[in-house]
Amino acid sequence: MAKTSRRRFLAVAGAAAFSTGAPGSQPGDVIRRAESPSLQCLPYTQHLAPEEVERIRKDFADAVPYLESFRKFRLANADEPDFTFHSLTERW
Amino acid sequence: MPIDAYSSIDELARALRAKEVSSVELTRFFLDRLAKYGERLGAVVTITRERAMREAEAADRAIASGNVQNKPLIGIPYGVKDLLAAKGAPTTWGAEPFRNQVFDYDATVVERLTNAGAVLVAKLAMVELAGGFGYNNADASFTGPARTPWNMNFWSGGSSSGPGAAVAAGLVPFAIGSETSGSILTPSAFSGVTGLRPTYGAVSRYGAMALCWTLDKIGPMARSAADCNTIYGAIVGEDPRDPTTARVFPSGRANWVASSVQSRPANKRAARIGLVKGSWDKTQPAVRDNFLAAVEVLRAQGHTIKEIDYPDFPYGPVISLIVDAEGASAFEDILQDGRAKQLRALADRTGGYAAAATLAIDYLRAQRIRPKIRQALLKLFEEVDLVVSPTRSTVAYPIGPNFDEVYKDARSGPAVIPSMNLLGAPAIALPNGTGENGLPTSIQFNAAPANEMLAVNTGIHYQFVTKFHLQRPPGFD
Repeated sequence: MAKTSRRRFLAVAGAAAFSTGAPGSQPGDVIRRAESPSLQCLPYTQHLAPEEVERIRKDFADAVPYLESFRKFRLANADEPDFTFHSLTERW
Repeated sequence: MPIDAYSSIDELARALRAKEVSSVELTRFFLDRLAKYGERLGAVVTITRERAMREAEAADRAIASGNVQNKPLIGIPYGVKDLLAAKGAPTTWGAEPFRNQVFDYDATVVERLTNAGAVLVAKLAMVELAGGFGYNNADASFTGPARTPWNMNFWSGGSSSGPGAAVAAGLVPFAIGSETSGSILTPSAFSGVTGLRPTYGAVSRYGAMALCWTLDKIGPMARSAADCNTIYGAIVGEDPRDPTTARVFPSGRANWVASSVQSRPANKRAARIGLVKGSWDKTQPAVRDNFLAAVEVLRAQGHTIKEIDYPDFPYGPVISLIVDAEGASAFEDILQDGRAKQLRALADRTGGYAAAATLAIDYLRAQRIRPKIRQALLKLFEEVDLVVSPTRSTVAYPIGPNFDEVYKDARSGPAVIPSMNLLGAPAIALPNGTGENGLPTSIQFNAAPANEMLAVNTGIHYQFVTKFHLQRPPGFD
């Protein structure tokens, strides 16, 4: 098993989430994004102690490199997600 | 007749139909074993004694009257992972916030097993919320860590930890587990049992805890591939209450699946087997050696063997983001009201909150990469019938340390389990020997979606020759 846990991958995604909208950020520019994370996008923080928030922030920052291949994967406008909305259905 | 806790389903079915043993006797026998060993192994949440006796008596009446057509599992006890609803019994999802939860209906899988004559004897332990919040330690269930009976200092695997331990120790003849990414295959490997992960959508998830709507699957864990096949035939097929089951395995196909076990010698055919390059050279030595020995068995059985380059995709990030986004959404209620902080594992207490920060754009990116993965893996299945690798790169993890603190030298290579789960492909995990500390090792056969019969039949033939699936853990006779 690769030593990177699923949580670490999650953390990487979160790292990007924290700095969404950072001035001048570019798609795939994850390392720069992670350098100044905020916690604006972390919901329900009222249930987290400050040290837990800090741990999550650190996990996010530590995990940044693991998302690199994900961010670099090229997608075209025509690449649709792996589910389809049906306006008409016999069953549901 | 003396009852053997490790009998196959075929053997139990024959004894029951020949009236050498009654279902009531058999049920009492397994209830006693559950009571005797269940807690020690951390394998059991609830013993469903009353329901079991009622179902066993009904089974005996059916056998006495000869009314056993279409009841391949008549009178045979089983357990389910505690994420499947069973009317009137607690369904805890392995998690403190839900330990008193009770549903007033049966999950479709339980309903189908009841219709097939099986007897529900236990709700079995599991990792809390099926591991959806990123646990990193075996002690991640309100019932404590489940132990593999091969060595009680080691974990039985997760998240179907109770089914793994209970089947391995002969507490139930078979069990039902679930997999989002590895939760049937891993405990099968760590516990030395045979586990079948079905095609996504082949088995109804109605009445099962949702972790990840686009990945969750339910399947059997048992003593052998032949047993898995019999159980699978009873649970597979369309269910109007689960839209993902539409057209995957229409009911006619289900009958074929169920009957194939009867004709297995005739079903034998050589498969084109692809060994995933890089999947065994950095594993623990015993995992590698047992894998290569298993490959030689397959070669001797006439299968064509070749090594394959595995397509390179960011499987880990893709599956992580999907599980995290869907899992945080599925359990948003306990994140919102703070009950997530009651979870057992430290990582789980904050993991859900971190998961809830997943951006929609990242989730969609993952779901947009997924068709590319599917395309690449389906292309691979044009070249080979089965994609084969060690199930896990190591034997079971020790109980105590975090997972990332042990086995630091072992690597699995390509991410076969995550990628095949993203595809929705079926797989079977089969014991293939033992490794460090007397713990089992395992091999996995993955097939293209809706081709589980090829994986299962190849597994059945493999187990004709090898006898690892018949080995018994010491101290649980």
